[in-house]
Amino acid sequence: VDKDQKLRIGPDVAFRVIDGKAILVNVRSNRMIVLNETGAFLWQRVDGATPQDLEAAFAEVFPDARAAIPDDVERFLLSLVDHDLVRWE
Amino acid sequence: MFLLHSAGVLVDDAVVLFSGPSGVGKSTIVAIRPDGRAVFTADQTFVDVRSGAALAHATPVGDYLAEGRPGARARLGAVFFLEQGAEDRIRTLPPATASIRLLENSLFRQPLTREEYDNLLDATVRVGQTVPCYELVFSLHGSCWELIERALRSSRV
Repeated sequence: VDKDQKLRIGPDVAFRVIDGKAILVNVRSNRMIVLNETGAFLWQRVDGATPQDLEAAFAEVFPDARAAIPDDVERFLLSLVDHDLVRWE
Repeated sequence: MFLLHSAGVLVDDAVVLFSGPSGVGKSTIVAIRPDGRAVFTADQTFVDVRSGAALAHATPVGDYLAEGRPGARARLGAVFFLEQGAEDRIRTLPPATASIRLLENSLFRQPLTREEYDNLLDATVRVGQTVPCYELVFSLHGSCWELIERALRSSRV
């Protein structure tokens, strides 16, 4: 993963954030994914951000988890890409 | 407005919906309702929110057993999402979980356009925030309507 490459929410993704959770629907594949509060935190910042931006935002809120953040964020982003919810710009 | 896979029973002036996939027990719950409760819809119900109030609309689809006229509407008092289990229990769903369950149990022709999906998301989130929603695990041996009536009393339906 290129830490400086920007990500964009896919054009076929409808989503709403409610009570800290994010409901994501890929309109084309008709698949729904629900993100917990941690996932929703990243989702709300993902459009136009780089992996590095997201790691920094995450570390600011969860400083104690700093060591685990890069792997965690990368896994999360690759999963979003895999589901065609976000794309590399 | 969206179509919810649900059966409805009139409780006083409000409709109480029982939602879930085919075979989960919607018809069973309706069949064992207490005396004096009319069937509003048997399998599918249109739901929307107008001026902050959620409404249930009767549909003619699959509702040959319902007593509600097609096109009739009433205040939506509560939604129970059904699961079968060994014993009866009930829990209140937070708005986010309620919205997800509403979305999962909505019926629509596929594929929806992006705009239609946006409208569906908006409607399910609004209903999830407006209407008391519950998860109802029920057995065929218990008295689940006692739990239902208790939940309705506590939410003042």
